[in-house]
Amino acid sequence: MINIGSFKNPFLDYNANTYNEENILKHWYSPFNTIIDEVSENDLFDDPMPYFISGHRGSGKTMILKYMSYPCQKLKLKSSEDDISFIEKLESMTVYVRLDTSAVMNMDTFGSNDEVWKGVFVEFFELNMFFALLDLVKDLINDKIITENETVLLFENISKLLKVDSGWCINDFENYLGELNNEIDAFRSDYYFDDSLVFNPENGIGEKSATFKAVDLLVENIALLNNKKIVFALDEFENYNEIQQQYVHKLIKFCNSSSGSNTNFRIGFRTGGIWSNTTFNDDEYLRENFDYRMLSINQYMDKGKAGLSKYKRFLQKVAEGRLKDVPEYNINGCINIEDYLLKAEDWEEESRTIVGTERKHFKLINKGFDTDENINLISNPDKPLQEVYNIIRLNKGEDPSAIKRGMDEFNNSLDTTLAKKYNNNYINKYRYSAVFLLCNIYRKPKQYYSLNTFAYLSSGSVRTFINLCRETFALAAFEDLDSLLNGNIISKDIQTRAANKISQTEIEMIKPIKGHGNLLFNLVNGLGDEFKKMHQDPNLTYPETNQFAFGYPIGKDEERVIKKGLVWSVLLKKDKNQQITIGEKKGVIYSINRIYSPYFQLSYRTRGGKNLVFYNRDDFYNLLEYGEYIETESKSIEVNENPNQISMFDEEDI
Amino acid sequence: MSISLYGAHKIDFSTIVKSDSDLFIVGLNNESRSSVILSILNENEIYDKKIIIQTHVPDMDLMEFEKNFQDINFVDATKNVSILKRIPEYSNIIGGYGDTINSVAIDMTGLPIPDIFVILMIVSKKYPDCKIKVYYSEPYNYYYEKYLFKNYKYSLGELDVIEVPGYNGTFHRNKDNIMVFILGFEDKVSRHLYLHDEPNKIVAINGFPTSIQKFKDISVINNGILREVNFEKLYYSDALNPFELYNTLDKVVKEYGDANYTVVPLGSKPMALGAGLFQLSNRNIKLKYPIPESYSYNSIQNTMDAIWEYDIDKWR
Repeated sequence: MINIGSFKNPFLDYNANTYNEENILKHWYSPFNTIIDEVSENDLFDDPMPYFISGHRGSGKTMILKYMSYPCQKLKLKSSEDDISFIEKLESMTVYVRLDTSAVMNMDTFGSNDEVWKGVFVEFFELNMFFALLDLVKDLINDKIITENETVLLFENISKLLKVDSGWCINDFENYLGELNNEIDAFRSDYYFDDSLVFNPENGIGEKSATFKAVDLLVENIALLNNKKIVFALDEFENYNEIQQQYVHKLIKFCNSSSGSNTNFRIGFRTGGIWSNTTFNDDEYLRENFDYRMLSINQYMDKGKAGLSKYKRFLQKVAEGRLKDVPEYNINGCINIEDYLLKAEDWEEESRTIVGTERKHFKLINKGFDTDENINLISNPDKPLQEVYNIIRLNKGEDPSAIKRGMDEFNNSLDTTLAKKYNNNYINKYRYSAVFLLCNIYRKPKQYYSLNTFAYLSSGSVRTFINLCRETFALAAFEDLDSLLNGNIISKDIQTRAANKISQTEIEMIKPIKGHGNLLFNLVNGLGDEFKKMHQDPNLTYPETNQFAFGYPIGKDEERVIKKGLVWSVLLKKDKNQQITIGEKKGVIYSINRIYSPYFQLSYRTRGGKNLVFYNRDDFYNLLEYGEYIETESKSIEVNENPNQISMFDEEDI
Repeated sequence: MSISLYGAHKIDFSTIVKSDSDLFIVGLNNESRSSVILSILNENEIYDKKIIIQTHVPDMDLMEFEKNFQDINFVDATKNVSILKRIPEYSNIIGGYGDTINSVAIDMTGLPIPDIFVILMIVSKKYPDCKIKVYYSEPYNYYYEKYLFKNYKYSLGELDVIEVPGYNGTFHRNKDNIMVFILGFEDKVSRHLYLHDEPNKIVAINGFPTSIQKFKDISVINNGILREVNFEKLYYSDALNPFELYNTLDKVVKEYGDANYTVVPLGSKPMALGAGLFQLSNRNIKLKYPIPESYSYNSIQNTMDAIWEYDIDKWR
């Protein structure tokens, strides 16, 4: 018996923000060449073009930016205490910068005093950049990358740049920057109570673009840094308002690949969190692939089965790192998360459990078709899901004998036309939907378990996946710690309870979102309920419908709500435009985050084909304001029974 | 060295009647306890005090007070919803009394927590030498709609997490960020704040003893976020004594040393007051608060336990 007091949940503590360089490296499993294949890890370090790195909340942006930072790279590459040769392997030196979130956001409060806050932000931003650069200098001096002579000269030059006394050491500069920081904080504190105050910073670091100049001093005067770029890895860019982002855009414009600048940027932001591509100058815009490159961490999500498989392997590795870190799991060799969660859900088994010895689902058969003979023909008690599919075909007037023949030939793996048709429709279209239908008929909750399901539910957020694992392990430890530590499978019931708990928590976290929390809550609830109804349709006319789109040109107001939903990963957007629904033009496709699936009892997969389309503003606003979907305009859709149904799935089927 | 100040007293109505305060600042809402002190003044026909009433509930009937008190001003938070917009209003009214203010009484029972901080700051700036007393009418119990746990909802809808104006502290990028939660009852709020800041460390302070002892358990059970992150330590501090909270924060800061501290006062108002006083003595600390779109009132209507008087002159 193991003492429960000694149990450490391997999935506790999921926040890269709190990690130091040791922890970053310990938990690092490279997303490059795994889930990100458009850009290599080397590109991220070496490409002279600035990068914007987008990803859902919790997708690992901070982890990447921190991994790039000099302290991490040094720890990774340095072979001994005195080794300085590692510096040759680095094309660039990265400085991680995360501004005080609340300070940045509070500079967005006085509409009438925008100019004042703009000035405060510029000074605040540049000061933080300069501070970060000074941290790098400090490390480089300690690591003897910068020699003593170079240090003296560098400090003289920095003193001239800042117009301060000569002869300062690193601590003097730090203290001075600390005072400048306090000056800004004091102004921020007092200005609320006296708006006649004028912001007149002592040094004006922002005005003189001191950070860029200091970078030049560093690169041009330190022998081992010649030809290297200094990269600022800015995190949480979505927290900057439009004006603040414009300022950074202006800096980016100055350091694109053709500028010869010694400064470069890697900027992390939540998907949807860039408000415009403008700069401080009226006619100047950032242009993708000219001024910057855009890298999506969640690009695998649009890459079908192969993308999902890569993502699952990535999550497996992430989980393995955490399980290895806890001796009790490591010693027993129980470090494969799939062994605990199972590979994928077994829908056939689940359906047998749902149905038991009952036959309620045969009540779905339309009058006229519900003869004993027909029922006998289409029955297969071992496979209630096939029975549901057979019933749907029967209700369409198909010959029950042909249905039976198709089922038998399919079950016997025969290479016949009927078996192929059965395979295409049953496996790819109806099987999973039938589970939801049975859940509804028998009033049983849908189970959500397995690595595959948790990967889907996480919607590209490693943090959500870790949350699901953490909750699962916590419940499992409470029920039977010995079993858990011995690497036994965690019951489907426990996993489902964990998924429901996380799903419920995520739903509750929608309302507090500042700006459009209430609207988004209504939107998600309205869509969730509507999708649920579709999942309960006895004819399964539109299986697994859980996406939506706009059939009219949306305005700024709708766009703002949608953007807010994307930034907080309440909504997800397909990277590539697709047909907004069957037989319609191409457009942007959205879905609600899959983590809400257990809450609404929906399919966690997204499926092409029929989507819920808003054809006018009123329909959308009705949902936003009242959480209820009322369709005032629709277009009839001819259900396509194309044998190539498999192409309708954009992701892996089990 | 810890500062131990205990100017917290349970008082009766006669103490209010005898109060020598020139200015009473009161917040009024749907709960009858929020107007107890004002009603005592009214019933005892003490009409010569200067009164500022803040209200954030629409259509409150304030006619009687308006008619009786000679010098009365209103801050209507239903019109100026943003605390930032209310600051100039408070400043103008409080600053407008000139040299006539020697002592101020703040009844924080019905004031939203950010307003308590802002008023304290303005009074301190405008009248650095005046005496300040803060009053708080303790609820008899809270109301839980269906069952005790997981059902307490004070804030409704969207939350705007702000640095409390004037209490933004200082932030140094190389120091650990420590978030000190003074625990409330709502998981959603603490979770939202955690996600907003993602601090390196979390310390929690629970209100205990408190008027009803089960509150301490509800706080811990409802704040699920504490079970999901590696939170450091749980402290206890008297829910009705701001000076105890002051001392507890002092202890936390000494224990964790040089860091960026963000204190989030989600617990009782006396505890929030203690956090405000601590920040005014330790200007590097940041106070953050989630401003809800609207409030619900969970104390049982028309009931009240005791009135507390906090003499913060000793602190000043």
